[in-house]
Amino acid sequence: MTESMPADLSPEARPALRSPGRMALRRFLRHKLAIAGVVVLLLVVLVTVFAPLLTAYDPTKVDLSHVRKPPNADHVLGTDGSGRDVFARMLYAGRVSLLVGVFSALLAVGVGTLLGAIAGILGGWVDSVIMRAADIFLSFPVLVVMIVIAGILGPSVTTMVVAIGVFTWPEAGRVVRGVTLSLREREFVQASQAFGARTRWLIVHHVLPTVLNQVVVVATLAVATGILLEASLSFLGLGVQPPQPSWGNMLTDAQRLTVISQMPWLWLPPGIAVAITVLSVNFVGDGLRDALDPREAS
Amino acid sequence: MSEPLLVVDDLAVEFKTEDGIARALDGVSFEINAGETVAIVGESGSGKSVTALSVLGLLRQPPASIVRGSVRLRGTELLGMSRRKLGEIRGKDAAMVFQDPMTALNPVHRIGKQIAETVRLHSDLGKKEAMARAVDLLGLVGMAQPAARARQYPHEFSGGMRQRAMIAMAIANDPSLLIADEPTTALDVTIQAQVLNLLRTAQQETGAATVLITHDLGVVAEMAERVLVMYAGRIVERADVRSLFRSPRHPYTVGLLESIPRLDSEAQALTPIPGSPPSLLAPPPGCPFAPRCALRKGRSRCVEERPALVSVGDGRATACHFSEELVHV
Repeated sequence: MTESMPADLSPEARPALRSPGRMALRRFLRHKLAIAGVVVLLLVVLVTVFAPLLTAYDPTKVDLSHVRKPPNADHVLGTDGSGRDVFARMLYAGRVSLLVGVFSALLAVGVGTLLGAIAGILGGWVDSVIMRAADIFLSFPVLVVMIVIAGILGPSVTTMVVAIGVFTWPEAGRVVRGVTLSLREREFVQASQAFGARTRWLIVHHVLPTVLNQVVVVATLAVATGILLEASLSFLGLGVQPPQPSWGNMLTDAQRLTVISQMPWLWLPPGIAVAITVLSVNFVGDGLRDALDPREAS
Repeated sequence: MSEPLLVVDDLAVEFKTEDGIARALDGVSFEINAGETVAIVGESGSGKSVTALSVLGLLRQPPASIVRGSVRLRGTELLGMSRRKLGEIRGKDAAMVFQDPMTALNPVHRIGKQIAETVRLHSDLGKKEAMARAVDLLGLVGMAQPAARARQYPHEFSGGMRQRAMIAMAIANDPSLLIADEPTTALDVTIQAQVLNLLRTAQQETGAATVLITHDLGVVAEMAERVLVMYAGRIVERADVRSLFRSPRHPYTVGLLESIPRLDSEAQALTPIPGSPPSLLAPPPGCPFAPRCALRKGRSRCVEERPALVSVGDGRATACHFSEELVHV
């Protein structure tokens, strides 16, 4: 915080408070791409939440009399191989994709923050064990492991969320541990210990408020990773199972060359949806990073 | 006479460094009685802060390791105590005021909240009651408009005000031992006297024994009843404050006193102590002060035999082979 208060410190005489939060908000609002990202994301969320209002079609309703029809007046984005409305499927698919993205990110960041903070505060062998575990998780090819997990446990949304969360926590863990390590050397943490604070207290009162900024950024970017992993797994048939739609399993159709070359309405919409959503999330993440990093203060 | 409040016995602490093992404390023993004020003086690196930190178990191990010794608070051994039990003692029975109030407060929390949290660490008060107590404490340490101040952040406080807040936190749970590690070093000279007064008031309010760590002999004369002089990780002299200033019994203390600027003296120049403290990595076999000592006069006993801290009467003790040569006038 670089703000300086005027000499008159009496609370009544203070000018309107320029709180760190307000300053961060102002920086964020200056970030045009991030604002665009927020707008697009809001749209995506609204559109998926209110999907039933936007389309009359049931995303799982099979209609074998209208198979692989190109976009027309009845079906804005055409129909798929089972005669299901692509537009309806795309809207409902967004729900699953966003849910998987958000929950896997929350899980990853929750686990990562907790383990990172414990590692940083306690240090010693606890730190070694946790960080070696992080290394091990990072050294697995995530996709391959998830294919194995999906194969053993059977593919389901829950399995996918847990698997993505469990394999992406080390990033948050490393960030939080790094901040905690530098925090541990700060005198106010030592002072807190001198007043009787123990590990849990230090984490709740000193570590969490301090790492919150970085964690929010990591979490945002983890949502993007989660959405991409969901799409990849579902594309391979190991994530969300048909007939429930997800952007990933809608793209499964694009595994065939004839579909790619002659039926773009089957794969372009979900592909674009994934790309736009992930891009928006990343823009928001970048904007948050710039806004919340005090060194960016201008 | 009852058991002293704090007994530190033969405490030795080492630090592992890149260049080898540094012996930061080498057989430090002292006692603090309930309610008294004891100053620990010495130059940088003499082991004052390490002593304070080891008493509260705040040394990070590694790199530090406590080689031997014992620290007993009301007869309870603190060394090797579990984190949980230490946490119960810290802040409640023994609290510490840190050197730099600029860094000892968390910048992201309001002052009142930080004090209230310290209260809540050792009591089952609710948030509201703890906050009310925090405001009371701020008033007690002489803060005007304590309720408004409690809602401010550390960056809105001056150095002296922050040190007041620190002292409020330290006395929040009525400790019986208050350790103040250079509480005025980071402050403007004009604020120092206020903070010292406040420490004295705090001591009177709580009846806490106060250990005042400082390199400022002026502070010592102002505050302390007894003095421990440290040099190179050892206590070299122990005396009540009056006797120490009137007739020091260790050449290092003599040197310290001669290097204070005085307004009432005719002397033209200060007399500094020549040389610098010995490396703690490879302490010389004899008296650690020998290379800088004005009293040694080339005698070989000083570099061959390490002087022990021996009593010289009146509750005084000194670690010098030839201390009787300082008794004059």
